[in-house]
Amino acid sequence: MPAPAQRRIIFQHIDEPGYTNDLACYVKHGGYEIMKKAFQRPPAELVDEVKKSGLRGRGGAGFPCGVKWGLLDKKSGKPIYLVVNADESEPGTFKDRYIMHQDPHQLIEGIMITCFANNVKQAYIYIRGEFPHGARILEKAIAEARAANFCGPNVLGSSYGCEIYVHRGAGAYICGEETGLIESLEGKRPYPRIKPPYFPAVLGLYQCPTIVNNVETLCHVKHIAAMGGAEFAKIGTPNNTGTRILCVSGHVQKPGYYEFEVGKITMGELLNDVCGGPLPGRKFKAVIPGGSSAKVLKFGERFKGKRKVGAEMVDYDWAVEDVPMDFDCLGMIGTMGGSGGVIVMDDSVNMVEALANINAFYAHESCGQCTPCREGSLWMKKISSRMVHGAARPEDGQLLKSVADQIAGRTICAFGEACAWPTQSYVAKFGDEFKGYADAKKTAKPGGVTDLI
Amino acid sequence: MLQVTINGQPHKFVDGLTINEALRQIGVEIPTLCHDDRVDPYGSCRTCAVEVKGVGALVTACNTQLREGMEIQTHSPTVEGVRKTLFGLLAADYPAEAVAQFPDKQFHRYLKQYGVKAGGSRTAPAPDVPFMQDASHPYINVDMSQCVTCYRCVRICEEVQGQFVWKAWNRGDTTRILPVRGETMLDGGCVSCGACVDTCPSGALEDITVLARGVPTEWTKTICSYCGTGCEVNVGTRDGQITTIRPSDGPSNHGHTCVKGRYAFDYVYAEERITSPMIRRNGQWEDVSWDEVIKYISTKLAETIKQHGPDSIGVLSSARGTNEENFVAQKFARVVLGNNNIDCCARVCHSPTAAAMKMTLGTGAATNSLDEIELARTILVCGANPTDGHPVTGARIKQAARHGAKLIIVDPRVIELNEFATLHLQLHAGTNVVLFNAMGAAIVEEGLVDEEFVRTRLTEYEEYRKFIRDFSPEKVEKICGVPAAKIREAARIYATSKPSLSVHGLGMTEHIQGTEGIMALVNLALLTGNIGKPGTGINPLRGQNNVQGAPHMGCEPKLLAGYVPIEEARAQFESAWHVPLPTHKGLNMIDMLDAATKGKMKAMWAIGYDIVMTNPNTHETRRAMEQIDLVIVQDLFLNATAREFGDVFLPAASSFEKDGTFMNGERRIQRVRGAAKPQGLARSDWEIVCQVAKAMGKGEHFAYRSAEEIWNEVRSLWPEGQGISYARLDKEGGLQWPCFEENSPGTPILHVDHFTHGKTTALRRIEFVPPPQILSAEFPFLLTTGRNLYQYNAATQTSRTPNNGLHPTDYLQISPVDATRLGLADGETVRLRSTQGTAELPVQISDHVKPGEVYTTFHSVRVFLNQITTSQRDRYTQTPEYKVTAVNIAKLATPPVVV
Amino acid sequence: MNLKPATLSQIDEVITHYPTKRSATLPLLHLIQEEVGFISNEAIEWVAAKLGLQPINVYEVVTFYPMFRQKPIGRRHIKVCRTLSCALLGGYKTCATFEQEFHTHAGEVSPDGEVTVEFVECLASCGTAPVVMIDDELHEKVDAAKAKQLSDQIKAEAQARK
Repeated sequence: MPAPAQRRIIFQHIDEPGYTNDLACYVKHGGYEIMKKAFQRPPAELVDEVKKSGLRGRGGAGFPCGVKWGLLDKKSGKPIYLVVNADESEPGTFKDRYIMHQDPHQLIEGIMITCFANNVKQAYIYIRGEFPHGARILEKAIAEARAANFCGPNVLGSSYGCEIYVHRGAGAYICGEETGLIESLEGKRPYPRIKPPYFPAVLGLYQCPTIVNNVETLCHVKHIAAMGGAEFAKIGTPNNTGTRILCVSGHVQKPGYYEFEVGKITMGELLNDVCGGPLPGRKFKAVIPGGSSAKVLKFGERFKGKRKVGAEMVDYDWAVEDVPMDFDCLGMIGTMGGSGGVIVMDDSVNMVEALANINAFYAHESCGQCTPCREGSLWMKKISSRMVHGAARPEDGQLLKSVADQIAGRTICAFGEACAWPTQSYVAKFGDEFKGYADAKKTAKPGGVTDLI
Repeated sequence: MLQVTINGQPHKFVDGLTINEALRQIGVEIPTLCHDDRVDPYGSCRTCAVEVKGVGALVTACNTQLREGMEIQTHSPTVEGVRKTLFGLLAADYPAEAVAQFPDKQFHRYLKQYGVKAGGSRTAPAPDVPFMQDASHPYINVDMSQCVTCYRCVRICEEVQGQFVWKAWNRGDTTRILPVRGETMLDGGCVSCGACVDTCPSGALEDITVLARGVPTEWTKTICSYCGTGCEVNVGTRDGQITTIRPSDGPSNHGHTCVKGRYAFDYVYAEERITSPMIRRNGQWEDVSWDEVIKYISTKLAETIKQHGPDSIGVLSSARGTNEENFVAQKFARVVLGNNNIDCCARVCHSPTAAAMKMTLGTGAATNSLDEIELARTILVCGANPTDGHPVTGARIKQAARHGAKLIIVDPRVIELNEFATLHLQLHAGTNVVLFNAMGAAIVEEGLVDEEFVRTRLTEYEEYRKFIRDFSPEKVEKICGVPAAKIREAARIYATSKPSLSVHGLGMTEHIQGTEGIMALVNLALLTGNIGKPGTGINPLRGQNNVQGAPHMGCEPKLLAGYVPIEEARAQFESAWHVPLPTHKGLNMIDMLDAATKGKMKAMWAIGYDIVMTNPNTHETRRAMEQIDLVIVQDLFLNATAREFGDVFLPAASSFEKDGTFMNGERRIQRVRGAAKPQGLARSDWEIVCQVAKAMGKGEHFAYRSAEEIWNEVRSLWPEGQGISYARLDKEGGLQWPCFEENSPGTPILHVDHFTHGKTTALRRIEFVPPPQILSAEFPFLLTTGRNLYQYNAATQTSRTPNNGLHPTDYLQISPVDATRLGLADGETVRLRSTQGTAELPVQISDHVKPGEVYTTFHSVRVFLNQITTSQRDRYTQTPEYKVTAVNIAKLATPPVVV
Repeated sequence: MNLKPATLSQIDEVITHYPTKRSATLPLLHLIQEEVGFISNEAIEWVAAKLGLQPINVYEVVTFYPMFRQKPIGRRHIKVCRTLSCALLGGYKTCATFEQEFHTHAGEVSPDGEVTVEFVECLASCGTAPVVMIDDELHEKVDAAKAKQLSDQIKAEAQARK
């Protein structure tokens, strides 16, 4: 059975010849029409549409967007803020980049509908510092939209006004964590806040109620407003509605971004049919399905259990290739859909070295606030890098695991999990490679194998 | 009450506790590496994590609220495993030598408890991002190779002291705690309060004295002997020597202290300390025995009385001495000498406050408590520089402002608190009465008076209302130099953003109209009902540790112990003491010197009071002192008075070497406990006085065997202190009078339903008496004076500690405009000249003073500033007007010779 | 600080974007770095004064974010992505090529002052790995050969300038 076709909603115009990122082009393609209609509706209705749509956050956690909005403290009397998480910091993820660079007005329209629905009068787009052009493009797009009265004061002639500002980060993964991002936006070190009590919906930016949504999520809001929540919910699979952009990188023939209805495509279809399979002469060895922090999947392993399909519980018995790419199925097999970043590794890769690469990343990105993460990520980096560059011992894998086990669930923010899961899963699934690494090092690497650390 | 299960056992707790607080209540100990009660829970070390049934992740006990029905496991294998791993990670590169050297450090104890060995060494190569090592601070050693990144120093500096010296730099595993520019603490605005050292669990920050002298083996809880805040401290000693002083969780300081109280203790061991009695014969000081000196004094005094009458002798007692010592000193004057010539250093500071508040409210002491700083929504700071003079109180005011209280500064100068202030009323020095009257006028005009309070508690409102019209802000703005709009805004804030609390200092009292200025300020509190309620009141910041207590014990010519006029209490005291009290009007300190100038004062006994250095107009003081035949100086050091005029020197014990009580600025009696033995032959002041009394034949009145016995006599004579026994002070800590009975909790707030002297009080109509026109072409600058954080008054103590390195001399602050006009550069030395004399000191160009005004501290013996201050005095209490002197400033060609 | 009037007016404008001045810390640092090339201590204290902050509040922020440089860099800034997707396709070799071409080590200014090569974490263009940013420009699929080619271009430009 061939893979299903892409369904491009968010990426409808990405890479479309002749499609430019200016307002005129956007308007020519029907831009801001949905917003105009949305502004005719009571805001609460728009919130309901998003709730009905079942849209789940595309930033990593997959939290239902409507529920997030519903938690917003609207009685505090304080201003409500929208913060757009455009930090796109999870390695393996590169979807928001294209939205912002090629179709910024789609994001702005999504932002404005979201702001109107939630009575937000001030939105900030927190864009990662590594996108200098993206920031400029967004600033220009906002200026165009403002001049055309799509944002700023008295939007579309109404009494409602909302400003959007772009705020650039400066190279910190932790700013993808929503409370770290808020601290950064306040001009501080992005130390994640303790939850409770600092849930953004109640005590967010400037201690005011705040929505933090991912770029892709907000673009979906526009389409939900257009087609209605119920219609949107028909796309994808139950509880995993809509489309999502899957970013594939690593050892495949055709890496890139592909938009599919959520859950309608399996890992095997994605990698083999869509991405052209492994590189010549190679076999798939492992895949990270949702950004570098997601637990790795090993080709050849099988996942068995029961799952709900419609009203029934059915047995499943999947190889990695059989797993539908949705939040729930990936969660069921012990990993996550995360941010949609699929990183593929073929049989040229030594998993100890891959882990050392990832551990170096997390040690570099730990904010340093809480002990397990600061000390633990450093320690895991040290051990895995010693294995590669120094003496590896058979017990190192277990040593790594013993520390990783004490980090996940012990930290202030989810970074603890993010930095522990790779170690936990690599050691669990590729334990032999860790045990035998000392010997493996003795044999020279075949040509074409790249250094990972 | 919450029902909670902890380690399988049911427990009940009140609502509002964190898990950690609850655990402590039932004696369950868990590691809390990043926690300190003085700062907000932070939850970063994760070592306090516990298991809560039904919660997936572990929960940090320090910052999680206890909730009904929680089932908590504090020492399950899971959490103990996490802790062991965390300590293992922290200890991986931690210097093992430090653990061996200081096994009692909190972090080191945890390592031992969890069987974790430190894996690093002091000799290990420094990491790529090096650890800060700094030994440049006189008190604090920094060795960040021992840092466990708990952020306690960062948070205590910010949340308690209100400085921002420490912050985390870099990130992840290269996170380093560093001061600004990454260099030294002092560069980073450190005020050397030592809070960071005190909280540091590992010794990354450590007192230099502890490194040099060793960890204390004994701790003594006592009260700081510097300002009137009354910080409770723990004095650590080893082999009888003080090695460190740490703040205690006292009622007035809540675990904080300042550079003086924390570190400036080595004067006790100063080489110049005199530890033997001495008599000056033929111009030479000779060591003598106690017997000899007591005999000498008693004979001389008896002769003087015989020849010149009892009124020819004066006794000055010290506000740094205990209540007991002051009580004994005044009893000595009245019972042994038979005069009322007894005074203390309150004369040169807050006598006007005491007098004004006694007259207006019935009690000459702070109406409210320091703890109410946190309750006030408006804080008025008048003529005080709390961050320097009363640093712990200053820090609390700063924190209150950071948390949203409105802060109004009334001062001719810009002070540190200005940074946090809503308004600065930068008045001309000496125009307090005008400014407060103008605020009163604005309050009346704008209908902001508390009408209920006026109706039920005040009299003469109508008269005041008519009187005050003439002080309408617009009419008087030119006189006080504050724009009318600002005066009105201040009045509105004070009257409407309630509760409003006022604190004031010597900038209010040391004026010709010192007493009246306070009365004008009291009027504001009365008009707006800011009295008798939490977070309100008039609160003098008393300058010295026991300056509230010394006059209160009767070291006041007109008053007996309990601050009662002699005539009111004569019968009571005479029957208690079985002697008639002298009937002559006593002389205060100023009177005594005046009498001396006239040749009528023949002997003077100065206990802990350096008359020459402290009194204004030194030349006049010297002329007076020259006339006195017998000058007895009782002190730690050969002070200026002793050097120049002393005949007898009696070596006194320091506050660390004796027992007793101090009374702080919020009327709190607190126990002073000896932490070390007196040096050499030094003795407590009370013991010395009692011995002289005995030698003069009055032994039966001075048969005290302990400070407690003296205190019990005080209690028997002073009803408001009756309930304050040593037993209670030892058990409960400091108590605030009035406290009539042993079961009374004391009184944090005065005047709740009625004033001390009755249900109502009158609004006083305070006329402004323009200060004499002192500025002239010859003396064109107005000099005002104040205190610096690092030095304390005449610097007798602080100048003999490393504090001197932090603030070695007095500086003359001068505005950039004036400096340019006079061609002065920073650090250049000038000669200040007044009608009375000259003083030489370096200048510091600062926009904290207005053009035409200059400011200096008065600590330095070298500068000897009082050589130029004048003899103007408060109209009521004769307190000298230190705060206003007309001076001439001349650039010196060459710096003065430093002796 | 001698900033250009245009930068100063951008600074004043960006401060208005936020209800608290402190929020403008990152924007100000970006603007100053864009003009000056790095963030000096003087710049840090200038920003603190401008925003009414304690200088240390700016130090703690500057040192957190790797994009802020506290020292001058070479004329061109070559940032090679080090993270997994790029490494899988030869990122380490790409970085080594630049290092060799300019006789330098990652994190240092090349001896001729032309470039600073930096090995940075994920640049979020994993689908076109290995990626390199030269100043603000993203270069995709930069294998060793393409790295050599880019190096040659930079060298040629440098030559042309001389």
